[in-house]
Amino acid sequence: MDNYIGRVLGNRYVLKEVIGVGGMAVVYKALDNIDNKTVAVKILKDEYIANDEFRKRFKNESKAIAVLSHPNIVKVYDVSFGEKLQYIVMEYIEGITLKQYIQERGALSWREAVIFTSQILKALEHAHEKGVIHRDIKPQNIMLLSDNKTIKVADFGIARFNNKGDTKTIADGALGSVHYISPEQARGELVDNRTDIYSSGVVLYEMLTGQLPFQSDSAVSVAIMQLQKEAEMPRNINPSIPIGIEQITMRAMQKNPRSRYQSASEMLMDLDEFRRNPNIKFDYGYFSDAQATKYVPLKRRSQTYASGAPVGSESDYTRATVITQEPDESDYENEEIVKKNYTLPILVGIIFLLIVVIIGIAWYFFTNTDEVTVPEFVGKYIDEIRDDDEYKYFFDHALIEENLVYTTEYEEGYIFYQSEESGKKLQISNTSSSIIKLNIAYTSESMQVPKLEDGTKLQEARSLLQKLGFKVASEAVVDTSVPESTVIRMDPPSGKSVAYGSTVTIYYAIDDEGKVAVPNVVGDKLSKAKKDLEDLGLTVVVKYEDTVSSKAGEVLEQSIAPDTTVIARDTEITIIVGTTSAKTTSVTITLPDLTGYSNMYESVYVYIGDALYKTYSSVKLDGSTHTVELGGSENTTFKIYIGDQAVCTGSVDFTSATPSVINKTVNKYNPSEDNTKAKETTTSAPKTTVPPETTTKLSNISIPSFNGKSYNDYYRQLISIGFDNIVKIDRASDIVPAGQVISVSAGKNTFTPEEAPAAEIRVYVSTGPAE
Amino acid sequence: MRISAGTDTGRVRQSNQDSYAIGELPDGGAWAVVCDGMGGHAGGNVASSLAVKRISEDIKSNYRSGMKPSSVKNMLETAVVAANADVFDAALKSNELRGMGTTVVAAVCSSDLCVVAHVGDSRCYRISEEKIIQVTKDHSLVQELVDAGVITPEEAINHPRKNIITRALGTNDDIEVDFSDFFISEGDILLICTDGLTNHVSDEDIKKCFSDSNAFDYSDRLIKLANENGGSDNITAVVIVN
Repeated sequence: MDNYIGRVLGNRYVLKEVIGVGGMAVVYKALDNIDNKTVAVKILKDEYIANDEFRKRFKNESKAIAVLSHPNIVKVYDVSFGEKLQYIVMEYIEGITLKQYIQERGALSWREAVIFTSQILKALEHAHEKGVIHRDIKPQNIMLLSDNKTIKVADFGIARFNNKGDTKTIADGALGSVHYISPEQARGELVDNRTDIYSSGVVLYEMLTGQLPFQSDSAVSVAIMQLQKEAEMPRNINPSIPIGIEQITMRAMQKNPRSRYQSASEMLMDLDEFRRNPNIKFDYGYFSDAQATKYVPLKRRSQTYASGAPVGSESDYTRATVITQEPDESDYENEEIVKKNYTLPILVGIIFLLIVVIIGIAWYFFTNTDEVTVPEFVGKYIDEIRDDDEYKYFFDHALIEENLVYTTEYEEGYIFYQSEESGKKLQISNTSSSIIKLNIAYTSESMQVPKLEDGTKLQEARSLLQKLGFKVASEAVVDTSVPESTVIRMDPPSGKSVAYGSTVTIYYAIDDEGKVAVPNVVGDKLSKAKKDLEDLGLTVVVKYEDTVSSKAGEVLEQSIAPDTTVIARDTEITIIVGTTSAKTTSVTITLPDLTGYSNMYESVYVYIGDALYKTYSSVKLDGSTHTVELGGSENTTFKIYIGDQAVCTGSVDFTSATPSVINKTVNKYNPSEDNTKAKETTTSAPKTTVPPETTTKLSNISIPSFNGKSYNDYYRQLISIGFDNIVKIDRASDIVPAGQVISVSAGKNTFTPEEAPAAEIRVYVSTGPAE
Repeated sequence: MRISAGTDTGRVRQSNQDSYAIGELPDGGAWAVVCDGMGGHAGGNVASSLAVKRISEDIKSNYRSGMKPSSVKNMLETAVVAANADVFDAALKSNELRGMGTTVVAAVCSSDLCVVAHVGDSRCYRISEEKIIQVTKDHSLVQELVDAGVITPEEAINHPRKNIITRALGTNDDIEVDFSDFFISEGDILLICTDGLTNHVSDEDIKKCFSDSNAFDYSDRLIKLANENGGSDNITAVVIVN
């Protein structure tokens, strides 16, 4: 792939040298001719391009990626998805990867680890907000600038293309980031933002300890370890790591996404808290909780409290933090120190208040408590101990919180975790409850139908049950005593143990016999969807919409949301069904012969109507003919550009059974002036073989309208009418979508053909809404 | 013994990167080599055909009647290791071919004995008395996930990373080959195929295909079925009927 050196891509990026080779791409250092700056150009390897489906995905995804704009994210400037060449133009970073840095230094100080992790999380926060999941957070993808402080995360969303889907690949390469992938990724499930949290946790682990949590000879066994093994606690590797940061690391690395930080912001908050007080100990346990849908703070006494006075605080803090010492001095950047000037006195105040409150509460409860010793629950079966004298006290006083956790590692009812160690003395006050949390195994053999709160609606109940692994059926019952769609009962009823994955029927209220709940038919085949809806008595209207071939025949949208109750006989539901009505035809163009010129490669762009339909990258202009595909579903015009020059225009009626090209007009192509003939070949191919265009009348040139145009299109238009000095300026904008032109400034509106090439045209381009 | 064999590009791919070769042995037995290539435009094709060429030549020149199972195994191991070296060397020499590799199943069957060598996720099945048994165990990520109990065999069927194999011929200077040997009875059928077939045709349907015991176009039927069910990959099927 180094044969690209010296080539000019997209008429602007001159490839200079190879700076990196990855599994799916080669990265070049390149000069951007237009903005006159150094950029990095990542060219995808051939095998990723051959596949149409892949190209389509790449195109869509890269639009999302280009929207990202954050100081901790390597900026993507431009993306090209041609037939023969696909590349991404990115910010060029002077620096090394975080991996290299860790390899040079070994374990980093926790201060450095925190600074880096915070920046990774800020980058993720931004990307997640824009709906982009990184999927491949690893130190190899994280650049450390030469100031050794700033990091930038690269390759957002690219990993999704790394899996070539159906092309056979050997594991070693394909699972390159296996040390950092989340268990759900290893299992091949769909992932969400929380996969990035896991990977950030692994990166933090590596920074703190200098080693990876899971290591093995084979990539696959590492993937399996991600699923099944617990990582060694960082403090076992290096006892000087503060507890707080160990807790943060291990929480981010929880196997069950629900036990992790739920967002980058949440993890950032804890990091900030830790940064302010490195002696902090967060009050949360590590356990998987199959029933809670989100992390619930443990109502348990921290050991640090216990070592002082016995305390029974039923605090309502979402997360009680225990502060044992004043924050120690840390040597962060100036910004931090300025901040600290405010936070320090406030913190001291809070600590003081907290101590007063704690002592007060403690004193109150001290006169009012029982002392009990925690027995060993782990290893017992829950049903066997309920009536056992040793344990009875705890059940009778509602001191137990039972947590069913689905697992096949233990037998049904086996207790495998307790939140308070056995042998520990607990002070029990008359107002406390549920203070020992037990995780109890339930196996695939049976599971309990959950309890629903009164007033739960059909839709909520359905999604809860499905989440727990039940299949769900629903049936309407006329009942006017409760609001419509309210769940009346379930069959089997709440609390009943049933086989894993069995069907639960939800009976929900309707106020009239003729009402039904609309089922979800999105994703179903048309025939099935239509039948299901009609069986309920609904009138079905079918509309079609173009889509990818894999979704043809499937319902893409339904006009009434699932689980809405409607009167069947009065209701019409519209379903939109995917179709691939788009037809294609082709037109043959004769390429100009630029043999002997310094750049005889150009991209060919095909526009259908106003939209770019296809790009043929790096077409060799050798005088041969080139067949260009046209596709669409309406009667429309097309334009074919070689570089910035329209060489063929016409129209096609794609609504006809056999669409064909009409009104075809061919324009001559002129090589640009800087595209000079290579000196050594001047004798063999005189330049006159491509005569300059003589038909252009020398009229004045005006700045064209930019409203709603993308920068790339506008740039191409400016070039095509004779401007040559175009300066792109990125600006945040709340109104103009990213990538589109916000405004243009050129000093004046009209230029003579002589002035135009040198006139500086400043084009302001939106980077999307500001932070 | 009757042999039927065929390969097809399928309905999605532009080129066929599968290769195979079959032949009869001097003592009336049969042999077959099936390879599913991977890597790049040209690479997959080159890897699978290089491997097939080397292994089939080795079988043809080294097989002797009355060889013991252990000798057949040695012969196959030598052939696969030699093919590995051929492919690996070719890959090193050319930028275009770098990273190429292939799966392989090589089977040698005399009238009552079969020895099968394999690497990767191409498979050999034995259909005996209406039972279908998968003789080879895939060297694939998904298979390892199943073995580790992470996913069920049912989940494996539609797993998104089915394409990832853990061993291949030609991607490394060293190769580890798995062998199976077993006796076969009259009427037993051996099916050697690439995943383009098994991803689209269930064990049940394979069995059904063989229910007409007089047919000789088994491989065509199987390939047709795979294409009818999607044909998302190259399909190769070799059927040996004892």
